[in-house]
Amino acid sequence: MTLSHVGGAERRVRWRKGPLVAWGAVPLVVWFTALMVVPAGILVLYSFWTPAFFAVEQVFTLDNYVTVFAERLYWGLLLKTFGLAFLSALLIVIAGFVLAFAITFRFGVWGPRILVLVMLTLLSSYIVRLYGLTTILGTNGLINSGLMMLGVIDQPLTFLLFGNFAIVVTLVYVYLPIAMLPIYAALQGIDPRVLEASRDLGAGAGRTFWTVTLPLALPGIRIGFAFAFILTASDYVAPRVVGGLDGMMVGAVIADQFGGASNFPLGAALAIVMVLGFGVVLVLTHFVGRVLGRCLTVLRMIAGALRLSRYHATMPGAWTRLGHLPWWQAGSVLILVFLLAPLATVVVFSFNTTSNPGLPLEGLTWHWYLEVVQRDDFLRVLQTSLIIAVATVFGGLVIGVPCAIALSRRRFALRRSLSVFVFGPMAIPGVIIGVALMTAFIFADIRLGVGTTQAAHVLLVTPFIVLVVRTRLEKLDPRIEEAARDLGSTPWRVFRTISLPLIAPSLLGAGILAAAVSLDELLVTNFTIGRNATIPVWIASQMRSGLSPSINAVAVMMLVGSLILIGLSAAALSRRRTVRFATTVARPQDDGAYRC
Amino acid sequence: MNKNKYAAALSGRRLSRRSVTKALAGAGLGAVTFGLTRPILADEALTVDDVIGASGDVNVLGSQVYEVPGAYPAGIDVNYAYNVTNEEIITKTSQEGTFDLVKIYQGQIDQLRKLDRIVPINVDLIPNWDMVGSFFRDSDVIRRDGEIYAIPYHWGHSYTEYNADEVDPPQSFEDLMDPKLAKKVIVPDDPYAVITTFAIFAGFDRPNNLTPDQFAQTIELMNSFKPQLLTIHAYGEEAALFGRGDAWVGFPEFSSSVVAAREAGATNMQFNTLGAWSYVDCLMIVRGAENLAAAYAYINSAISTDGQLASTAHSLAFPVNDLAIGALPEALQYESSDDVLARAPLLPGVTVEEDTGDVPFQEWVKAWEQFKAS
Repeated sequence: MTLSHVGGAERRVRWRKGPLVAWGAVPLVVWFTALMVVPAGILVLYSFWTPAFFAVEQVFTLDNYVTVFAERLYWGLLLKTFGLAFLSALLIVIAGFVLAFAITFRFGVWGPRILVLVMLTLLSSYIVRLYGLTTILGTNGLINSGLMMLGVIDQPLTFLLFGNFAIVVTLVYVYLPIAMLPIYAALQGIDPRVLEASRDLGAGAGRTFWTVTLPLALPGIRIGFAFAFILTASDYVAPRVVGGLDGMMVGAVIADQFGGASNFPLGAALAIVMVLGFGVVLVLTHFVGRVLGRCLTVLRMIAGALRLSRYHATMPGAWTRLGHLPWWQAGSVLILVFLLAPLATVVVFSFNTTSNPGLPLEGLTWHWYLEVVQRDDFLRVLQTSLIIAVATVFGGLVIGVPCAIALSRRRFALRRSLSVFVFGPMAIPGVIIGVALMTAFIFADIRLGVGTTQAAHVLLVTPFIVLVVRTRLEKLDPRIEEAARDLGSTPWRVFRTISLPLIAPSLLGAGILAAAVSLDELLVTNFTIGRNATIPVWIASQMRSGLSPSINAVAVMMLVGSLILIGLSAAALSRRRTVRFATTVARPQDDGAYRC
Repeated sequence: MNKNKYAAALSGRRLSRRSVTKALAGAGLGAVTFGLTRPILADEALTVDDVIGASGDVNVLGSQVYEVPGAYPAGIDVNYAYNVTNEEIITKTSQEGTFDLVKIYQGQIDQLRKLDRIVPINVDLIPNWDMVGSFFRDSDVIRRDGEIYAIPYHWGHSYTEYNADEVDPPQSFEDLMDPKLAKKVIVPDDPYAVITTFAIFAGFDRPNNLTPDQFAQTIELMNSFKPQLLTIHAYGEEAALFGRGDAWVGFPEFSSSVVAAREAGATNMQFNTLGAWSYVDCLMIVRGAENLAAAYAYINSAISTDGQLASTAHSLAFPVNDLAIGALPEALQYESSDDVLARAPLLPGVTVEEDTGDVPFQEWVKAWEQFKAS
């Protein structure tokens, strides 16, 4: 209960009669409306128009939707995509929970460092990491070579790559770090005193986990599942690279309709059915989850009545000892190896003398790094990417932070709706956003290029920024800010001297995440970049003439650059905190309010 | 003025409801009036001297493999953007004035013309035009309605690529159906290339001009081949697929693919002309080009002997100027383009019109979608 809550009925009534949207959220609402809602509206219109050759005739028709539901090709692909995405999301949530739980409760001071390791995977090129994974899973890949070297198998395992197994493994690999974030945030939000109380009341570790930790983490798990499901269902690049003939997903068909198939209305109808499908699956999952939760509660009550829940007392000694083994840590280490192995492969193969993507390595060289940094075209796209990333981070923070503050500190009528609306850009497949934005920009006669890409990237990164900053804000005790206000500080001074320093680490994290997303974005950028190019567009284009270790070198340089940025920012933050502490302590007594 | 306000609002400098509303209204009005009053650019007023003395920026869209800084004309700043797939040429040229030139194979002339994206080229403004081999200069594949729409830049032929350590050279379609090759064959994600090749395997003389019946037979043949396929790859991935040992045979592959596969570890990759046909990548001028003189100057430089030597060495694609053949690696060199073209005919591309009696390209793409997803 915050101080503002103590105001009682009068204040609650004022909240209910509060504004429609808090001022802090207005920039985000305007931005998202212009760059997401309007283009999405155009897409909806397209879905009811008649296809022509790389164009549309504005003649109303329902044929596009009839085609989607009548042709087995399309609804079959939708079902297949949702099925694989559901399975992948389930595995992601399980692995993400194990990792987040171990980071929060088991690894102690190593937890934050391990979190950084997990996030490292996001700081390198998505496409290059995918190819790193194929180097591991391929016929002469690292796993097959290793198993054959050990004499475990005589012939390479062919199911590892090109099939549904590879698709699920790859999707889990790609989206686990992102989907883990809300789970981690939920676990971080659990008050340790609650767990302590549970233990004080005699509950064992298992019972505390099932009856306290897991229920409290459920909101984060639900968000993580939603993230994972939407992202995996939307991805069509990874399935195509590793899935072989099974790799066709509905996202690819949508992309093709806006590309070679030249059937924009059908693509739009498919996209809208897909987004509606997301809603149906997530609502169903939520409903089933609630039913299962209630069943679990009933079972717990029955077990309690039968005194079965005190399993610590009834478990055989061996099982009790088993319960104390570091399962969480062991599981987490395996997941970490899974996440970091492709990245390590990329690093190692960036020094390989040849472009052979398999073992054995034929020698080590810096050649690929030198080659890349001497290329004018690479330096040009690097410069463009950095300009876009910097503007994106700045724009995203300007829009996202006030919205995060509004969502966590203000009460307004559309607060719950806005909480969902914020994640809109994540719910719409990138190719759809890209096409819709390109269409809208051309319609408004805005020149495609760096500016339009910056605008698009701000749209894409803002959900991440809001998520990270809001999570941090909700962990902070609002009474500190209340106290400062009660002592006469203006809202701006409270923000500058209290809130901002406290959320600074999360701003840093959000900024880095935003930069990483911007630097690695391809699907939207490819449609909005006009006559320019960014690093991912350059990499994708370069791959037409064959994969070269120079692409690995680029990915490694992106990774190292990000790490340097993180290090410098962390050092700057640490120094700033030290200086602030010193100056605050040295101040005269009348400023003491800030020390409380 | 209004458009500038909208741009400022978009970049976050002056974002308010009023400014956005005003800017949107202004942009809408501006778009309409601009669309109505935009002048049609033409090259009538251009002279060879203008081309030779051209300066400023030229915006080029093409494959990265053809980005060759050494071959740029003096005094011109080339701004090169990339297409990842062939079809992106169409989406990326949606906004008039974004690009001056595109580089794409001749098969897309009809698509780009139908959308009014390219303009006829006046070869009198290109002093180096005679350096292009006569076969390409005189070819109908670059002409429509008597006008030239594309300047040949590089060419090549498709081939069947195989790992000689694993398989014997395939001599016929039946060889490719060998059970030993089940899940060991790859094809690129390119409807034009794959359907054309299967139409040749099906025995049709004009593989780009298929009647509905011929088209159905070709697709049936493709479907019968599916058990042999491991994956449908993006261009460029095939080298790693061969290098890792995932695939043993690929067709139709192009240009430097065999060299890249050898470098990637499949050291005994070989190729033959089973199912082969030829294509020519061209330079085309985009309607609304902002610097037409520089666009012509770029073309002139690209087809010069020096330009062709540089771009051939860089891309390993066959030059349209035979004097540059020596820039190819030995494994890819040939005596003369006429010899190769006799074995791998240059095809015109697939029609996009629906009333010619031939199956239009739109149906090719639809069939390809079905093939990939089924």
